[in-house]
Amino acid sequence: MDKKTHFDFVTSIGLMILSLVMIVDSYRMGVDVGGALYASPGMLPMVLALLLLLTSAMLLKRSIRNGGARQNLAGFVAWFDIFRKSRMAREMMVGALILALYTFVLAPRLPFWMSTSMFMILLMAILKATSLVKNLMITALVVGSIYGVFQMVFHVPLP
Amino acid sequence: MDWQYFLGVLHFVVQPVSLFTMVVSVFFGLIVGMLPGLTATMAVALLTGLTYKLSNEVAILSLIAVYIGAISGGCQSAILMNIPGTPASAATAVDGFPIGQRGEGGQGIFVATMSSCVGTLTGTLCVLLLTPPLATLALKFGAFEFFLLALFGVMICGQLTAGADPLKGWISGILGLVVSQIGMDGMNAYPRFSFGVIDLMSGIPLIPVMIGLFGFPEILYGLVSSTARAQVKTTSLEVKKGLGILLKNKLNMIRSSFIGVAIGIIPGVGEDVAGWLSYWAEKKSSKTPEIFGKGAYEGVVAAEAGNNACIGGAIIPVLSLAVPGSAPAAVLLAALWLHGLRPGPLLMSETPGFVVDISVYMALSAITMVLLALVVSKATVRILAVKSTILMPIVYVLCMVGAFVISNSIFDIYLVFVFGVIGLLLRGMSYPAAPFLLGIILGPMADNSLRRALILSSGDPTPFFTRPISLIFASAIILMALSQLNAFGWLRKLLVHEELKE
Repeated sequence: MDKKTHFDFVTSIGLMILSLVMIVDSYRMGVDVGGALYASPGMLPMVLALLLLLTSAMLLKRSIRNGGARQNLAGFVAWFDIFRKSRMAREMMVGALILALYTFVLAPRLPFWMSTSMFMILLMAILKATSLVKNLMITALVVGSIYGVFQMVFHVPLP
Repeated sequence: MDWQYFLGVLHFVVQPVSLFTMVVSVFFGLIVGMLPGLTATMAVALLTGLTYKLSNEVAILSLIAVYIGAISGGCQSAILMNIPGTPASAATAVDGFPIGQRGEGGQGIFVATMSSCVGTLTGTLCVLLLTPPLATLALKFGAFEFFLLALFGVMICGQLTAGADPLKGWISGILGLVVSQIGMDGMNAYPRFSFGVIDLMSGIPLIPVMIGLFGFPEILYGLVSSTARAQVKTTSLEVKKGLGILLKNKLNMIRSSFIGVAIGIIPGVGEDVAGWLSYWAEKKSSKTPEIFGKGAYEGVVAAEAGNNACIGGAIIPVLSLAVPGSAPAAVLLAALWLHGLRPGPLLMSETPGFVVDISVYMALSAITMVLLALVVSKATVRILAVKSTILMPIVYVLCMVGAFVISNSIFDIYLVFVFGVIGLLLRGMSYPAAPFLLGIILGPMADNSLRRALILSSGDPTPFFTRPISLIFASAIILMALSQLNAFGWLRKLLVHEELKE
């Protein structure tokens, strides 16, 4: 069995559900606006939903042919268990969490220089990228350069 | 053609102020194009404001120079980091990054830059010679053709980038088209798939999606790996070998350049599509298509010659019709208006020398770009020497700034993260991200064109198959789909059977 078959099995089911929801929503758009369906805002979404349904059904058929439904489900569960125990996956999750912290918490609430300095110092320290002194110097240089070029030269607002 | 126009513009360009402006603008363009998330559109837009107080000639020279620099500069981060600096370089990354990984980053940049120069010069020649007849041809594209062109673009991109599994490429492209449908539609202002969220009603902007899809997975993988130091040791540039590669690809360069120009002329279809189409054409005509995607120089040459030639193509409708061929060309058009110029048929008849001016600016900027890019690349290849745990936080900050400054919206930086996670999932499950991005680019054109076409024909789809240009696109799409459904299996069996009998 192809090692990706269980992903294909799960994603094709997800995509088929998405396309069915889109078909209903696209039809509703046509009803809301009125007039001919071909001129309604739901026309292209409807075409795309049908194409997505067709292609995901092909993917589902292929994954079942290559492994069978039960075997695919078991393969997916086994992969999830391996992923949970993987060191690289854990490190990526930590990295993603810090990026999310900067994106959703620090950048919208604090001035650019402060949020970016905090993010860079924290991330480089956690990753043990360099010594603390170098870390502070790199952060100051990067934040200062971006601030100088965008805010002072081009007068472009920063987050 | 009157030589006095050439002499006049050459006299202007050799002035110290003009030369200085051109060099600084090309350099600025290269840097902006190279940095992930900062695009050619943004570079031209940024400079439009800065050049407001300059004379018309200097301002236009500066804008043309920055446009060329930015489109060319995108290849550097595509080759070195697999993050296309601009959407135009997405096709370059397919083969460029494996070249960089092989330790030939310097060589890859040299080949890409020279191809860019040839592409730009070909585009320049076309601006000069083919503006009137090609603009007439572009006018023959109607709503039917534009819809099929969008569909064709997404399909070939899916076919090209998914390797042995085009089905996944098509699904990725369809998902991109679906995402492009989010927000108010262009004809009825109906909020589609917005769920009452105001920010979604204005649609999904391209730049944050591009940064997220391509940048985020690279950044995250870079944070947990430490392979960067080893790569830079083997980064090499042998000019003789590079010229040999270019010489071997001369036909490829010429064909890709003409594809780029042709795509540029079609309004709304920009450098990214030109890069992909040129790449596809080269892969299709190659005797060794299996090496594409694994670091084939042919792919880099085709993509770079195509996307840079598109600059000239995109400027042709700007000058003759006042219709931009691409997003940066749209900003350029606005800049021309800002400087009191009126592009369109009147510009052609009242100031015919303007076409010559633009052509000379383009040619000289392309040559300046080569010289500067090679100098810059010596510094940029050193990016690989920096530990990825230091480089990637900096790149993420630049990506966030790049996403934010386009429309000063915090929502855009949220989108970077969201589409970054989507990019990570696509990569993990072997779905190519490029068709997804192309779907988002072509989605609005596909939507408006499909509905306009059907309104024109009162819901009758037959013109899609009866209009000559439409028929070509429709046939190509149908053949592509049928080949994947194994519809020609009987033909293959028949041929094999006949061969065995012989």
